[in-house]
Amino acid sequence: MSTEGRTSGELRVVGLMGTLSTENTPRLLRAVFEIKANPGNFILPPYRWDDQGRLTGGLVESVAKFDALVTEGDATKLPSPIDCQPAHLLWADDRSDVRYAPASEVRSYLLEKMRSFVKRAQAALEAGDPHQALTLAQAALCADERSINALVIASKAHQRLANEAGLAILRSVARSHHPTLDLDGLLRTTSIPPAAPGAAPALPPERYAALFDVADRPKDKELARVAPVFSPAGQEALQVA
Amino acid sequence: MADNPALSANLRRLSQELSEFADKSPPCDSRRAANQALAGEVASKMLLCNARGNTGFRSAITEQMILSRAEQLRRNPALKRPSDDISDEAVLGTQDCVFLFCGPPRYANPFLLVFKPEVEMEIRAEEPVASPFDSGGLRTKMRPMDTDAQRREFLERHELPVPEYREFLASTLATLFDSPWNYLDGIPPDPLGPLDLTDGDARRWTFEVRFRTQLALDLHLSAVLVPVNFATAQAKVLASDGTDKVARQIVGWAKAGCLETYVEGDGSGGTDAMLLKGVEVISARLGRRP
Repeated sequence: MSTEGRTSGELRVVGLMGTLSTENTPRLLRAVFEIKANPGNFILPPYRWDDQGRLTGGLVESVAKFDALVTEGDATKLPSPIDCQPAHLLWADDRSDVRYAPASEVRSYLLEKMRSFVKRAQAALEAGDPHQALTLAQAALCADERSINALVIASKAHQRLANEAGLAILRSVARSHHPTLDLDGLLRTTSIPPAAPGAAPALPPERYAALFDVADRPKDKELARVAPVFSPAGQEALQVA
Repeated sequence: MADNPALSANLRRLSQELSEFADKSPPCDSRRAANQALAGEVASKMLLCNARGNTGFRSAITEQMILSRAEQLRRNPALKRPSDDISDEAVLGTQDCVFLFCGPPRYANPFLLVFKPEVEMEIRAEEPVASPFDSGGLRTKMRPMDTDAQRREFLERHELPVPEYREFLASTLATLFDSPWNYLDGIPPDPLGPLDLTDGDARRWTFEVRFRTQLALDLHLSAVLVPVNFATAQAKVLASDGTDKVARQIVGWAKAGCLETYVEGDGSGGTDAMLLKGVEVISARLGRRP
């Protein structure tokens, strides 16, 4: 059965790939769809939405296969399906509540969350709490995996913790996604204002501003009010029969 | 040549059928000569991929092996589920196999282990076998077989020796694809060829290699793909627990230069990120020019 060219009207959202925890949210989610005309036939990634708003390329799997993924902890079933809508995204907020909303609003909201987490991570690092800085930088990276600021702050936190192994992983990430970013150069030549007197000098203000451009954006109150379609508190409802 | 006469006979028969099909199909016949050199090179160097979910990925790291489902159950019977008895693999008799795609990932799982072709040359008690399609799709996605017995028989008739199947892969790439790179890019063959299969997705024409029981992770691993926020989370784990086995392994791969990360995304606005990264990594290792 081919999945070529299915419109959103032919689909409903029934689940998501992976599982949710406050450790890996907020973030966009990879939805699992059910074909309305063929109940019990699910479409899993890798798929893509083409320019005409049609879902192409996914894998069609049975209920049993999807349930096996849920049992293995590789997918999560929503308690009730959602009608698929054009240009909408499934995502989880920082409490791991699952929501479904217009893509532009979701992206704007996640960008704002990323900026907010980066700002707080930076403050935690400045306050001498690299562990908290790491937690917040990780949340920022969940909201926007491409965030250079979050990557740099996380690297600084690992450096502060003398976690060379963690830094090795972040260097790999930087090489993959920001090939022009000289992460080690930045770590050598810049520093977060020290927590203790006598530590390294603070980053020059002009570079600091460029690195950590975290100006606040107005909150998208409307999106925040969208009711979640699934809250982790209701996880027991997701057990596979 | 392969030691198994049945597999060698399959290879000869399928090669002959493909050649006859190409002779009668003008686009195949005309592109064969033009594609031959590139197809041979791509087929001989094509990497192998095993896509895994979170649980399977962690388990592979802990065991330092990819284990077949049957081997997992032998080691830990408590893992057994009712669905194990009726799974596609149980019905097709492949439950004791470790499955690799020859080429890019065609499955949803977010973690990808990419092996060099040399992994096929490792000496082992039972030789791996290949098929010119993903065997798991035979039961529910590909037609025109009606019974499980027919499906098992079909699979047996299409099992090929390893690594000799790469000759057939080369012929397939040269004749059925407009460009041999289309196989890598997920562009279906046109025409579909003589294989009596319809329906299904890219797994219908993606070659599979099945290793018996287990495959060691340290054997010719070329790349490991993980989502960005998984990698950064492992770095964070190491800040508080330097002994975590999964995180230590991720560091090991990062230091060895084989850790690749991708932005997971949501499937909107273009090609799926994991698939795209998988194709990019394999392309780079095949020396494909951008």
